[in-house]
Parts: sequence; C-alpha cells; structure tokens
Amino acid sequence: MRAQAVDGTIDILLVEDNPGDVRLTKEALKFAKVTNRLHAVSDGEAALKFLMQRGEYVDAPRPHIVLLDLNLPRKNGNEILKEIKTDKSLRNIPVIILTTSNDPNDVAQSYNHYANCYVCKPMELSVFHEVVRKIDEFWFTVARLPMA
Amino acid sequence: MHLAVGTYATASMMVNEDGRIVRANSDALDMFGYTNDELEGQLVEVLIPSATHTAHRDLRRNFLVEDKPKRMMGVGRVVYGRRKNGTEFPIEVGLSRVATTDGPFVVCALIDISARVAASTSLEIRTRELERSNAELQQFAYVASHDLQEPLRMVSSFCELLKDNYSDKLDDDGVEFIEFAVNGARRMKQLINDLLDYSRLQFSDDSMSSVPVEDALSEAMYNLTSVIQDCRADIQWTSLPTVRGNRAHLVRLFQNLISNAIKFCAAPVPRIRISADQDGANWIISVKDNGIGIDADQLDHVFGVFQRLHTHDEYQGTGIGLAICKRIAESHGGTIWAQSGNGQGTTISFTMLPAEASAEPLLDMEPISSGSSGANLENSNARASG
Repeated sequence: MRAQAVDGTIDILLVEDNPGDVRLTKEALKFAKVTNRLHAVSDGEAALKFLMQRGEYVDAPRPHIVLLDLNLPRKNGNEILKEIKTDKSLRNIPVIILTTSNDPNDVAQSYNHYANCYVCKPMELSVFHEVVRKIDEFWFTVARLPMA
Repeated sequence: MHLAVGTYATASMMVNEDGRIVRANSDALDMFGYTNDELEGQLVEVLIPSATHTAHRDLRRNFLVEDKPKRMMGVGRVVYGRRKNGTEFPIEVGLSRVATTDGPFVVCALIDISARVAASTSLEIRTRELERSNAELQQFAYVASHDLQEPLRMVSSFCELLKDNYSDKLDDDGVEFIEFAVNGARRMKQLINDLLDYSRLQFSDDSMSSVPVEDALSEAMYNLTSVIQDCRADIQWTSLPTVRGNRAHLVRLFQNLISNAIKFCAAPVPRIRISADQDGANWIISVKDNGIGIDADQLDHVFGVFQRLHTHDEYQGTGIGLAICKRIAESHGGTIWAQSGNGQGTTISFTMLPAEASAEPLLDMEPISSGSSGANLENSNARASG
C-alpha cells in the first residue's frame, strides 16, 4: 500500500546529486502555491529504489511528479527516465527533466525517452525561482495529474 | 620491338603470352636488382611478392583476352614489386598488349612510387592526427564549458541568496564584496556560454547549400531589428552573390559583424556598407563601417578567442564575436581579415565559394592530359572512345 497524502500535499521526488541544487530547489519551492514535500535522492539507483519502494525506501510515498537531473553518477538521468517510462506501474508519473544542459541532443533524447517536459536550469537565481514557480503552477494547478 | 623496350626512358619489360620475361631494359633491371641473364625467360611473378602470385597469374591471363589493349594495373590500390634481395616496394604499372607474328606480347612500363606513397602516407597520418586533435579540442571545450556551469551556478546563486537575505546584516564592505562576487560570477557565466557556443560551431558537409548572401544578411538584420532601430543605423548593400554555405552560420556571421559595427561606433549614426567583389572563382564579401576603427597592430588579434581591445567600462562583451566569425569563414573554406585606417572605420572582409562550385564540375574542368595517374589515363580513354 502506498502512503498517500490525504491532505492535498504534493510529493515531489528530486533526483539531484548536487546538495547545493537540492537546497536551491527547496528554497524556491518555499514560495510555491501548493504545499509540497520534497524528497531528494542523489543518484539514479536510489531514485529507482524510491519509486519501487525498496530497501530503505519501503515506506516512501509515490511521488506525484519527478524532477530529474541528467548528469548523475552511476546511472545517468536518461537511463532512469527510460526505466521509469518502460515500467507499467511508474510510467504515468510525470517526469520533468531539470538540468543545466541546453544541448539539443539532450533535449531530443529526453523526449524520445518520453520525458513529460524538459527544463533548463537558469543561471540566475531569480530566473530559477521563476522557473520553479512556473513548474509548480503548471503541473499542480493548471494540469491534472493521474490518480496514483 | 625488343629494341624499342631496350631504349625506353622508364623501366620497361616485355612479357610473352606464357608470362615469361622476354626483355627488360636497364632501368627495369636496376629497379629489381637483377642482371639480364638472371631475368630473361623467368616468369614475371618472380618480380612480385609471393602472396600475390596466383592472383597475378589469373589477371595476366585475363588481360591477354580482354577487349581493352591498354590498362593501368592497380588503379585505386597500391601494387608491390619484389626485388632480388627480397625487399618490396610500391610500383605503378602500365600495360599494353601488342600482337605480333610470334603471338601476343605485353609491354609493361614500371614506375617506382615509394616516395609518392611515403609522402601521401605521412600526409594521411598528419591529417588523421589533426582531425583527432581537433575533435579532442572540440570535446574539451564542450565538456569544460558544460561542467563548469554547474559549480558556477552554485557560486552565483548562493551569492545572490546571501545578498537577498543577509544584506541588512552586513556592513557596507560586506555588501560590496558580495557585489563583486556576483558580478564576477555573472561575467564568467557569459564567458562559459560563449565558449560553449564557439565549441558547438561545427557542421557537416551536408548542411551546406546555395545561400543567397542577401537572404542571410536580411535575416541577420531582422534578428537585430531593435538594435538597428535604436541607433537608426544606415545599412546599405550592393548586389550580392549566391554562395555555397551553411545558412544559419552565414546569418550568424553577418549578425556579429553588424552588431560590432553598431557597438563600436562613435558617430551619431552608424553607417554600414556591405559589398561583394569577385576574386578569381571566389567572392570577397566586405562589411565596412564608420566606427572607431582598430589600431594597425591589433588587426590580427581581433579574431582571437576572448580578445578584447577595450575595458569593460568602455565596451561590454567577452570578445568572442570575431572569433566566431573567423571560425565560420574558415569552416566554409575561406579566410577573414580586417582593414582599418585612421578615422576610416573598419572593413571586415571574408571569402566565400560561389554556389555552383560543387565537387563534380571541378573535376570536369581538370585538363585531360595532366599527370600520368591511372585515373586520368582512364578518363582520357573514356573521352576518346565516347
């Protein structure tokens, strides 16, 4: 059984190996409209364990959305994306690629692996806040998400 | 016939229909290190590496019944000869079949091409090395700029967080220091972006097409609309040719040159003239402005990566613009240069290939009689019969 949030709280899984980025995303999400819980894991294997509720993540909630960095140690973002999108029970979780890379090849590859959205992390802090705010607004108030 | 072979200036031999050497001239004897007595009557295979004996014997027999009476051996690949002392060397062989009352003979002309093969091999090696080191450089610049972004974003973001959230807890010095750090990070970000841009400037041959220069120029001006309107720049051009190029990169080239012309202008209205002159088969495209000009001793430097001639207070920018122009011009097989005189503004010129200069017509224009290479011989045969 999934530990579901009944109070309307949104669970976000952030797959990001840089603690600075985790902190920045947390700071940015403080101002989000929707109450959220940010769960951060720092590599691909941990991300898959979290999603499949294995090992130390046996009680982890099913995230409403995944924010996925591409440059990750061991298993890179695209590999994780592929695994999520080929897994029947996971593939309906929206995955947003959130990365510093604006390489057209990375963008193309991510969409080819069925990323729901590709966002470049902007350099400027204020713009980053704005981007996180827009992600929050679009995915949690404009868009409708599937029942978990 | 025997006499004729004996007096040839190049190494020559005559072989009968059984493949036995009937006559070899002194150049041919020297080439292989045999005396006439040793060679006469021997099968011609004695002069080639044993690994190719069988194949050669079959080819030799086929040649005697072929329609064509003349042929180059080993066109498109290297044929090897074998000296008496066992050493092997690359040769070029031309064959002619001659019918006599004693039956058919084959006259062979032989050229030792060791020097040519060695030269082209070392050129091939050098070219491959250059290609590899270019690719590595590309990779390096790309990875460096990519991977540098991450830590830089940390520095700049947390500096900004400090500034936003803690300014009231710091004294004036503290605020100023953070300001410097933020500015430094911002400038470095621009440098890295430019480096990334520069390292991505590569394209394959198939991205080349016929591009009307005027179209590229118009698109560049469209991209610069607001800048051009703000300074009411006066931009005019004469009739411009169609060149062979990568359209997006030509747009970029003009965009950089025009924005430079506008940026480095002290006159009330920037005046920019674009013209084209023919230089042999090529075109020289020039962009002339009425700007502040470039000192003579700096003319060569301005095309370097991150070369700036002014302080950040005077003119903003990282100094990548002309380096990108240079790279675009050179990847089109052209060159780029700057001219500037006292108070005369700057003229940047670059060469471009005309649109019709594709590979095939160029080959067609080659004179039939040039050189003695197999390909040309075959070409001239084709022409004669066609």
